[in-house]
Formats: sequence, structure tokens, C-alpha cells
Amino acid sequence: MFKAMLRKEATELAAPFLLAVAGHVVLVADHISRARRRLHPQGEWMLDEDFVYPFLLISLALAVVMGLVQSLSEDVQGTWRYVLALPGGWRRILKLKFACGMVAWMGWALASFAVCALGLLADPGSQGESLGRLSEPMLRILVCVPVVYFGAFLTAIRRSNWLFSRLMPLGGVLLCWFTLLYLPSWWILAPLASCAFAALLAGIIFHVAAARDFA
Amino acid sequence: MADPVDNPAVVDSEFEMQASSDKPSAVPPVVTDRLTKYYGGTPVVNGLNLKIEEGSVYALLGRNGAGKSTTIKMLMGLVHPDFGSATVLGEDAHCMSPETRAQIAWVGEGHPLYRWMTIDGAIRFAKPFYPVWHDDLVEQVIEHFKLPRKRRLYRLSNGQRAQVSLALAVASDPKLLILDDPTIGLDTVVRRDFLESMIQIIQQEGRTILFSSHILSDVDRVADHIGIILDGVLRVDAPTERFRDALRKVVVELPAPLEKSPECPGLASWAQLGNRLELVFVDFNETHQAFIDGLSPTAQDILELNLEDAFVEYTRGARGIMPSFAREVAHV
Repeated sequence: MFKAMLRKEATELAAPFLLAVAGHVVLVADHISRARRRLHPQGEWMLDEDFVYPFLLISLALAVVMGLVQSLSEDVQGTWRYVLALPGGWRRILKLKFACGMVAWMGWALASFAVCALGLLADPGSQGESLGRLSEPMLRILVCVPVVYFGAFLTAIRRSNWLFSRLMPLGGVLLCWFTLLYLPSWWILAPLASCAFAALLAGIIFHVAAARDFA
Repeated sequence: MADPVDNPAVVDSEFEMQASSDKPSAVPPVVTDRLTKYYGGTPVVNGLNLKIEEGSVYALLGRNGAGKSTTIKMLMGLVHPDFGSATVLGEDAHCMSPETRAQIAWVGEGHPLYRWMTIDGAIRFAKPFYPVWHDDLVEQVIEHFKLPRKRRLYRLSNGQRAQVSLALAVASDPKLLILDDPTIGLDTVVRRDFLESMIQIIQQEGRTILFSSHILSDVDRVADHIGIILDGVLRVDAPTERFRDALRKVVVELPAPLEKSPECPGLASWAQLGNRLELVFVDFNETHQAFIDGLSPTAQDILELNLEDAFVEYTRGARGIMPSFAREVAHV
């Protein structure tokens, strides 16, 4: 059952995921090209704001799209009814969706690091630079991505008469996310806070799903 | 929100006492107790008491918006009732165990499948959810309908998608098959093929089928019991033949149009066009004949109805005095 759901979710998430990876590749390639033209201090482009903010936007967009695709697309296609009528039960289906979302998030983290590592190899000025030191801003962004993903999922599954009130959970988690990004001692606090917020949001999603009709 | 038992219409079903008296079983596969659902303060299903016996083919009928789909969704646990309960295969519909759910197949209105999947992909997706899966049954249905296995569902016709739904539904060898208007939008040939295959595959092993439909000829062909929902209330719960035979339409010619509405116990509907009066009675008897004689008709005709006509006459209610649609002669 897990494999079947994973395959389905992977197919549905493939397009936004590949688009995000392609965007990241372009971003890295652009910075290597600039580094070669001595527009950046060699090897330091991963710490540059011109790299970090676009990466933040790509990660943010991917997290939002993943949450929406996993929930809203079932509503739009009318397939909640089908998938929830299967013997798995709605709780297990939701858990499988979350698991797929987390697998995609880890995939995004790995892919983005792999692209950066390849970029550093292609950058002659980065010899001897530690990927760990250079990728700290990226890591800080990635640690907080699950909060946005769960916020987007909640926004899509929670029904509301007004678009503005429907978007409120997403607005809330974006504020949360930016707060998490700038926490002091982030390497301890951000993962803990991110896990706690993500668990809270998952709990709210279960509560909303238990109460709503899938008509 | 009123308790639906307060509503006399809920328990006042003229046909209810006839339901399912021939084949009682210990635990009927589907039982509802005062099942009620409100949307925006309006009851779309109102105090529904339904009992479907094992092995029967039960058709749920009603006009658009009568509450058939909502009832079926409540039976599948997709919609929460506001009052009452639904028990399916002995378990509460809203918290069915995966084991019980595996014994129920559901074909939803419009065949909600992942349309980006191929037929093979849809089978591969559904199969791991079920403990029992008969590849041979799926194969038979696909072969029978000559479905292109590699084609994506969005490229199939409505009829082919219905056939894929059927293949997926029967593969788990369900005890109970619930179909929500499965033949809507299909042409006559595909519809007949679909229903005959469904009955052949499922009914041969004494499984129970509950389906909703608008197509009365299909219902007449396959259903042994019918339930008619009117404005959320179950008005008829009876064997199909019993309902068909119970209604009689009496057409009388009167010397002069009636000035007030006719009132008689068992009068389901009436319509008047000029001097012609049409009356539909449930269980036509001497009392009804005496009532008609009291109108001093100049001519009288008693008509038997087929299921479709019986359904139409029963559900559309009193039409009263009909307007004349005769075209006026143009004076030049």
C-alpha cells in the first residue's frame, strides 16, 4: 500500500520537484559563471544573498506547491472520495501522504546539496572549501521547510467560505517560518521548533479531516 | 435542528411494511437508523430508515437533489450524518475497519479515478489496498470490454471509465457493491452491457448490490427492491414488482371541471386538464372506485403503469389544474 501511494504521490509531485531542481541548477550555474568572471569572492557564492534568497524562494514555492498538490488536487479531481473509500482508512491515507511529502522534502534537500557540491567542484576557486560551512544558510532554510508544507496542506484541506480566511493558515506558517530562520542558536532551536510546529499542524490536519465531509 | 422522528413523513411510508419481508437475515449488510443530513439548514436526508437484506439488488431512486448521493456517501463514511446512524456490514459507517472496508466496493458518481493513470496503473494502484484481489476477474472484465490497458484514463470515453471502475470494484470480490449513479452519461448499449456484467459478476455469488439511478428501465431490469427518496425522506421501500403493481392511473372525463382539489386516502397525485381528470392511486380498491363514482364521470379508464411511469406519477406530486399549452390561432 505504501509503495502504491508513494508511486502515485511521486508522479503527482514530480513536475514541481523537477522544476525546483532545474531552477536550482540554473541558480548554481549562474553563480559559478559569475565566480569564474571574478564577480564573487571565489568559493563564497553559497553565502551570498544573491544565492540564498532565490534558494529560499524556490524552497518556499516547492513546499507550498507540494502541500497544495497533495490535498487540493484530490479535491479538484474529485478523488478524495475514491482514495478514502479504499480499505486503508483516511488516517492511514493521510499518514502516507505526509510520509511521501517528507520523502520529497528529503529528496529536495539531497538534490539541492548535490547540485551545490557539483557546483563547488566546477568552481576552481573553491578548492579546500568546506561544503558544511558554505551551506549553513541553505541548511537553515531546509530545516524549516516542513512547517510551510504542512501549512499549505492545511490551507488546502480546510474548507472556508472566503479565500482570505482559507489562506490564513498559510500566512501564519510563513510568519512562523521567517521567525525560525532568524532564531539565535538556530542549529538547536530551529529543528526543534520546526518539528514541534509540523507535528502541531499535522494534528490540526487530522482534526480537520475527521470533521469535514468529502462529498 | 429538529429531531427527524418528529416529522411524521419520515415514518409514513405507504410501501415500507412490504420491504424485504421475504428474506430475513441475521445482520443485514446495510442498516440506517433515522439517518439525517442537513446542508445549510435544509434536511437533504431526513430520518432515513433503510434495511437492505443480503443478496438483494436494491435501487435507490429519487429526483435530482433528493438525497440519494448523500445517503450513499454517508454509507461510505465520506459524509458525516448530523443525526442517526448507518451500519454497513455490521460496523458503523463512519469508523469502518480496513477489513470491513475491503469487503465493500464503491463506484462513485462520475467514476472518480486518477485520470492521469493508465488502466494498468490504476489496477497497480488499487491492488495493494486489498487483502484479496482476483486478477482473473479484472482480466475478464478488461477482455470483455476490450479496454486498452496502456491508455490513460483521461483519454477514455465515459463508458470505458465506467468499465474500468467496474473492473476495479469487482476484483476484490466484495460482499457489498455500492454504486452511485454508475450509468449516468452512458449510451444505451454501454449502459446495458455495464449492468449485465455487474449483475453477472457479482450476483452469481449472492452478493448485495445497492445502486442509485435515474434510468428506470435499468432499475426495472436488475433491481429486486427499490427505495424512493422524496425531498430527503424515504417514501417507498418495497419490492420492485410490488411498487409497479400498486399504482394505478385512472383517467376520467367529467361533465364539468372540478372546482376544488380531490381528496381521498391513497391518492398519490392528480392533474386536471379541462374536463379530463387524471388520478393516481396506491393500491386501487373499492373505496377509490366509490370516490370516482361520486364524481359522476362520463367515461373512465384504469391504466396499469410501468416502473418509469409509476415513478414519475408518484414523485412529481399533485400537478393540480394544468395550463393549456394549445397554440392560439393567429388571426390575420
